Amino acid sequence: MKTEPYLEIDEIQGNILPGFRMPNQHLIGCKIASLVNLSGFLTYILPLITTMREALSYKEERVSLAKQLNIRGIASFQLPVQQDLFWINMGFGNKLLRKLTTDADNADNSFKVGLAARSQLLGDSSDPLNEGNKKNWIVGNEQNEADLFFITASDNAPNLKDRTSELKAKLSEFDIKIIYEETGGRLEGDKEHFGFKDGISQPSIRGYTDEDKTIPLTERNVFKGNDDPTGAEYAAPGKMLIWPGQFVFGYDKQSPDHFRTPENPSEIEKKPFLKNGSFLIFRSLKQDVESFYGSTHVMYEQLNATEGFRHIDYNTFLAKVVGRFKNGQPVVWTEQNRSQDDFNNFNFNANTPEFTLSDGTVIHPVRSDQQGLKCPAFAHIRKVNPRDLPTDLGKETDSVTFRIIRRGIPFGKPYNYADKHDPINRAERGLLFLSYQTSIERQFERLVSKWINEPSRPTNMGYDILVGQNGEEDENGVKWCRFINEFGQTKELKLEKSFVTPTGGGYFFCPSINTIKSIIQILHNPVV
Amino acid sequence: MPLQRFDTPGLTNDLPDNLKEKWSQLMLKWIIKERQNLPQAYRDFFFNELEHPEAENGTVLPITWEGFPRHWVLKYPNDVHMRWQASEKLYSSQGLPIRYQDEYLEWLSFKKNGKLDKVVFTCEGPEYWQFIAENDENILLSLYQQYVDPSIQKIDLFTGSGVARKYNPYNKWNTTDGIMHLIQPNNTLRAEINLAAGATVIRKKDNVNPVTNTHDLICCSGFGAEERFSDPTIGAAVNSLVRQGLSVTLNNPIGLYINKIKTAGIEVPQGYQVKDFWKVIRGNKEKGIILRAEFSAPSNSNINLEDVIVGGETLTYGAQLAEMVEMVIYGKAFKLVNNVPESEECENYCNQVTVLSADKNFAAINKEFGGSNQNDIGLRMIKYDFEDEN
Repeated sequence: MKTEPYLEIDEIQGNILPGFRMPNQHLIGCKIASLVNLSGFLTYILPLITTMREALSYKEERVSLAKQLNIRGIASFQLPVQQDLFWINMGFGNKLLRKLTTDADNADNSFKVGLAARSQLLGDSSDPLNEGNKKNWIVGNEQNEADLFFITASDNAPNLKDRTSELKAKLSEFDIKIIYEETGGRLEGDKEHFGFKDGISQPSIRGYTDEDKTIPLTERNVFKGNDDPTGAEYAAPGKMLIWPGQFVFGYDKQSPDHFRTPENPSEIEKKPFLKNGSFLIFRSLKQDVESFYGSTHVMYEQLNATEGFRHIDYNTFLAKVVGRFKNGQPVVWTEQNRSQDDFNNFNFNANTPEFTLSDGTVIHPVRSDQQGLKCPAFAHIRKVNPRDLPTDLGKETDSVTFRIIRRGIPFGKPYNYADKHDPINRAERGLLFLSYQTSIERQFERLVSKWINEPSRPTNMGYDILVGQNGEEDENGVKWCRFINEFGQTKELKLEKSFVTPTGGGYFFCPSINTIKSIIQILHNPVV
Repeated sequence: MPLQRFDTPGLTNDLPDNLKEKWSQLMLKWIIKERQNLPQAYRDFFFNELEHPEAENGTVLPITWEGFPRHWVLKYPNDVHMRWQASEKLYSSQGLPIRYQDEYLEWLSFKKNGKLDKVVFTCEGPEYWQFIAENDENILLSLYQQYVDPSIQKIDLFTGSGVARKYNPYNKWNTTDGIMHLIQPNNTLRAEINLAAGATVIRKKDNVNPVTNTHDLICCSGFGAEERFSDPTIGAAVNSLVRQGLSVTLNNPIGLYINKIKTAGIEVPQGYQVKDFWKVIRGNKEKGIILRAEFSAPSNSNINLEDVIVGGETLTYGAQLAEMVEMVIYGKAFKLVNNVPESEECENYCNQVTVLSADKNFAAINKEFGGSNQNDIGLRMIKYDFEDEN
């Protein structure tokens, strides 16, 4: 098999790989009046851009100590490793970039036309009176698209605030106008606002972080279990390896026909301008916690009143909607004793292989759930990642090519479940959805427009009611989902509300360090 | 009510009763033949619904797939305009024109003064039209006149004379100047039935039992083409039902259908709705068995189709709309046999026949249709004359 590549860790922005994961983050969207001051600003910001090397170095120290102390999650950011960090990553909007090069436009038509133009295709409301309609967005519609987008991050909140203020002052100094900003923060237990643990299933990316190719980005822990040469290769149980070109330009891509053999990037994707860069999608998604619990409870009661479905409790009902219980445990595991296993170790179509790990531990197969008796076909995690299932969009090898890296972070104060009347509950909250991929059209947009928002795809069992939208004409946004039991009985439930409303966003290109340097050069020597 | 006979695709009412009965007999022959081709233990897992009135209450399962061809997405991963343009050209196979639209959905973009005027989609298998041609030329002519162009004459639709007289599916009204039914050689109704039957067999290969991997499943049983969106998903869905111990068949009326035409993402001029532009011409929208649809400006309007936006882009190619079309076949499943049959050994079809890889296909279709001197694209031709049934 082809050797995995060295990933240029001094070139790739750190939030792409390995990801900031910082508990405190801040997003800023800016508009540029002219290119005059841009090279000055980029010259200032360039040494501050956090690379993959810096993010990896911190992650290694932090994770290593956290493992020793058996500390997990947000608490690990309080450990006495590097502290008071301030990280910055940035992206460029299409209109700004087009003044310099069309390479990013040529690589992805969706980037070229932009999020606002693609909004309705993503199921966003076409009704101008609806909050989710792009006309009402706080950022990202045709009138307020961001040219530059920044993600700043720190291990401590006051530091983030202070240092971000410095950045904002610099932006102002260079006459770059801030049109949007929002602070994000990881919630306790790494949950999103509906209370479910988030960010569990990320792609396990191939490649090495040293030029000698001795240190893989994704640690390998399988001694036996990867025997089928045409099957997926796992770094660890449940962690299917994917070629990096799906997420970062300039590397071999995942083939739609083979799990293990990569395919070359296209000529367009090989352009030096794109190398080590990635497309970033930002969607500000407002979450309505009260509506989520109110509506799902009504749905649950309808299901519970149906013969053949009475044994399901409310928490399991919610787990079926999401595909995981609140602690992240996959609902596929129901009635299987998997307590010591990784939460990603499951498939839908076939049982997982038996793995022997490097330390000799044997991980027995996890039973699949092809029919969706445990994890319904409409469950969020099954819609966005059907794993080993063939779908309406091709073979299971095709599905792997749609994966995205998610780097989202919640915004707003957590909902106070203990006191419904707490005024805090009326405040806005949601998810600052961020994802990286090398094709917006064939990855993110495909997941949303072809699966999440489509009730009969990949399987005719309903919408992803957690985040899906029905943007079809004359259907008033009504969604449905269908439960099935072991006797083949089904129960269809309707939902008139949406729990998630898009309130802004943008498509951006996040270039490599070298490409930012080349942009500065272009700005210094504009083509006449 | 238990099934009495196989209806015509989309429950159309094109034929007199005697021909409807004859069509039913043809479907029956095909099903019987496909069952005979299966290993003995599997024949009850692809059942003939006419023999099983108890299947009346079986579960009808829609199996959906993307209407826009996978191979064009892979051929032009970045440049969607090239992708759309290439998918609409007419290519040459053995000197005959074909549309390289292989997801059981074909379309033709009509232009007026160089601008897109109308897009017509069809998913009707060629066999039905061959059947009509063989049984009543006048019905064939009137349907062509009704759906394609009133000026069409019989001479346009047939070649040869006397015993050599034969329906020409590649006539100009079904290729360059119009579209009546599918012509891409793999887009046939018979292929659908063959695929559904072949996919019932549970396979084992090496240490894997049962085989669930799509590539291996197709290679073991030799059904369909893995280069498409359609065949792997249909095959895998059927096979999984049998693995659950269910017997399957194609639900009546057997056909390939447009299930849904998306409206989300299509922006039309103010004062109109997308439904004013999408018109279902044949089949039944409510039942999800659409055979023919058209996208055109509302009558008595001065709207140009280029005033319509699809996914943020001006509507210029019918292909943009093909990406909004969801295809479907309807399977029917019920418990007929108590035991799940033993897995059959893999027959390794991929080692026995030349499977057209995506690359090979792409290399072969670089010739556009222009006459008999064009290079052949190397695809099998449509087999129309039913000689193995007569």
